[in-house]
Amino acid sequence: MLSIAWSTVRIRWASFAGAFVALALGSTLISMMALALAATIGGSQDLVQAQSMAATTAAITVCVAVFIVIATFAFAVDQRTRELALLRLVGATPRQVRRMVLAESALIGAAAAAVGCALGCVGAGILDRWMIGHGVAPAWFRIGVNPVALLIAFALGVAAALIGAAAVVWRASRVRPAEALREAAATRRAMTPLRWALGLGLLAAAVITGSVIARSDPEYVTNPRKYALVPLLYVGGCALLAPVLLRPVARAVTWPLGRSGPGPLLVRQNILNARRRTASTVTPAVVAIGLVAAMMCLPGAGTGAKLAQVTETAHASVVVLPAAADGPPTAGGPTLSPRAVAAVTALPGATATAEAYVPIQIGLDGQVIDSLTGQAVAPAAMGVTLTPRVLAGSLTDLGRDYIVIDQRTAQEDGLVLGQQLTVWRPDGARAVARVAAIIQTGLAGDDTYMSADLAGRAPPSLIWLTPPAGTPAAAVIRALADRGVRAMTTSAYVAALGTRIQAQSSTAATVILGISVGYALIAIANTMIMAAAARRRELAAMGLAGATRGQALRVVGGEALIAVIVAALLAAPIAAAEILTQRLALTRLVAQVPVLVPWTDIWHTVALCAAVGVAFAVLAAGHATRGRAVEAIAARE
Amino acid sequence: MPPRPARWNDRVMLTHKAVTADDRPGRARLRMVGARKFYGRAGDRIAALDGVSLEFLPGTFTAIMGPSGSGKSTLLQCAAGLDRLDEGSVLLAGVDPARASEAALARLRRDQVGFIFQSFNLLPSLTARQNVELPLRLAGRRPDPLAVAAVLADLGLGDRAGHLPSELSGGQQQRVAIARALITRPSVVFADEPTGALDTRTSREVLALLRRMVTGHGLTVCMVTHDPVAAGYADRVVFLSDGRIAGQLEQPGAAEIAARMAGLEPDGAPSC
Repeated sequence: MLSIAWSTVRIRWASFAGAFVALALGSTLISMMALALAATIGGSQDLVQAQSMAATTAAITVCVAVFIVIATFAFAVDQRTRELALLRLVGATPRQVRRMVLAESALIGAAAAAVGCALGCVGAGILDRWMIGHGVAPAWFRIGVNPVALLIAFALGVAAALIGAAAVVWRASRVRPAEALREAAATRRAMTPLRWALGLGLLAAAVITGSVIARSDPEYVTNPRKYALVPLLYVGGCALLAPVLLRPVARAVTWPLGRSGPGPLLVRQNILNARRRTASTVTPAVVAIGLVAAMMCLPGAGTGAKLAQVTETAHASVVVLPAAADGPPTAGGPTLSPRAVAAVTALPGATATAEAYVPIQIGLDGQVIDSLTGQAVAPAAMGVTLTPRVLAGSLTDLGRDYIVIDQRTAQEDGLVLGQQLTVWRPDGARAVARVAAIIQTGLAGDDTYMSADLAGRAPPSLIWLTPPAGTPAAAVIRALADRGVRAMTTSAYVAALGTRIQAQSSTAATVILGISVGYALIAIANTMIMAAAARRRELAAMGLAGATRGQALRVVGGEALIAVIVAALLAAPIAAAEILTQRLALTRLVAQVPVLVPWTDIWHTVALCAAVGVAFAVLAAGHATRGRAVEAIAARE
Repeated sequence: MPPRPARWNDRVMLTHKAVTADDRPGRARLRMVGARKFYGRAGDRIAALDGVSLEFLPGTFTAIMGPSGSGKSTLLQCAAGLDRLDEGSVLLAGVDPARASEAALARLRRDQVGFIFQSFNLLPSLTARQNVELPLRLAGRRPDPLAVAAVLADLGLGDRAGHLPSELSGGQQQRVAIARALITRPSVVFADEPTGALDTRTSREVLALLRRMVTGHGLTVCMVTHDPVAAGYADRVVFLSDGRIAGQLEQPGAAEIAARMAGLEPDGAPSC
């Protein structure tokens, strides 16, 4: 059978070219990311950001490549239904057909993965400069050629091809020999049991993972790296179920076309009846639109929630920061000088709450169990100026030895309310503290408040200031103008914080999405070219029935456009489920959850998919319809 | 006078299985009893076959004729195990296709049955020789290059063995299809309008070849056609109308067949 597979691939290379291109590009991306990941492993602390970007992008790339390769292979096998039926007619058993399709896929997979790995090595050289240029990696960072990483990428590429083929091979092997005697390529049945199981399984996994995250680790939804799994599961499930979901959607979308002339009628019938072809366009578009909607929603909602948390927690109209501060306070960052602190506290009638950020270690029975950043605050200010969400205990009547920890730290370290802890300060001094309250874990991670007495003489990094009644914030800020501090209104502080967070997260989102969306666009173009080559006779038949070449091209372009619209409608529930999960998670953290649907990004993606789909459909069909229609009809097998 | 150049139908070297117990005269290679096949949903069913019983003896050539929609192609597909009957039974080379697994049916097609179609149905990516070898390869047998070359030469395709179907003429493609159908020495060959896409001269050559295989080697041929001339090569012509047998002729002439057909056409000559 291998010899038959080989000569089929050798002679019909053109019809396999689409699958080859999709897989080779997927392998290029996978090997690039594998090499980048290998280069960051075991490196210094400077590479943490680079490593997290490479890991996230690698995971997303592998998933997207598998989804798209499955769709492309399904289409490639579908295009050959008649040929496979012929094999069955001359006596091939279903097993032999399965083995042949898998052998072909392995041949193509190995060749495409090898080409992809070679291209990946070239791409890696560009990627490291890009990462340095965007501040993701330090200037000395280089991505070398790591054979182990390449081997893994190669194996993943071949596996993606085999998974893609396995998803359709069962159906291919059950092709009835009598199919060979029919001419029509329209297939009504487009799903296999395996595809049903995988698609529903992924959707179920998405719902379960989403609700587990919303219930137990709601802060994950603001972190693309920890949360990317949920959008991927939704997109994957929807992509696999696309053939069955798209029919009712396409029927509704194209309903008006059924009664408005022959061209639109053809568009409608082609969309509805050539379901595999439509699915092969819809799947990459669903992946692109669904991922963009979900992932671009993340940073917006995350930033909004982080800011809302600051606003909800701190009740002061003015913030005083050290003059050198260029961001939110951190342990080891710039601090306020004693003179500045004196100037602020000297303001008549104002309430000042100083916060010092101190790196501490906590322990039980003399054993260190965790390292935290403690925000040292005077007991009286807790519950008044600073009001984190309390889950257990209380912020009133705090003693001078209080410590307040967040829920996750409490769970991980096995700490309970009222427990006595040992606290070590950076200078080695130790003190005994009592857990007075357990609060909701913050969006920035651990949140620890402790008595100012436990911090020793650590200088504050920030002062929350409430001016006396009747004094406007502006007047207080003016009064502090030449005291060596940066004073601003809390709203200005929150806005500056927002800009900063947004800038960081959008770089990451651009990389992660740019690669996936670019790949999806190529897959759409690819499908259009594969489809046009196989539709030469059909287009010629339209010509002989009296359609001009322009009309035929408009029909093909219209089909591509409708397919992208259907994809956008299929992606809508994914995005809605996604946004709902985020909302459920964030309401556990802050009261006012901003819902930001990234409409602009979504429209741009839909427009890009439509432009690429229509352009390539028309170009490829234009190429296929050159020459005389009669020749195409007369063309032999 | 120089010898006349060899023509593909001069001699046929295909040798067939020795006559076995199953091939004794009187034992049918293919038998169809009370065959019924319906299309459409319950309540609105159309019978494509409505109680057809037929026997095909070894070494006989049967033509099935009838107007469009009379059930000819359904009969052929059900008899060949490509489609299942709703009622009745088929026995093909001792096997009931309704009870055989997909794999067993594939083996049956590979070993006992040959197919010839109007649209030659060659695999476009395989050369003429590879197409002919295909059933043997699928059976896990190594094709004997000399035997394959001899068959191709016999069919006048000696110099076309390395060509793809797209590089062959219609007549040549059909001869490749016939070589593929005969290479496994089947006991029954099903032919669906085998000459439908060929010109008159090539048609006659193909039919003469089939005739020779029947007479000389005991092959059983079941051919669906609407061409009275093609049917004239058969031992027996079975006429179908509305899924039922409307008559049979033994050793008929083309004119007789044409007259009978005209009687079956809905708006042809008066049927009384």
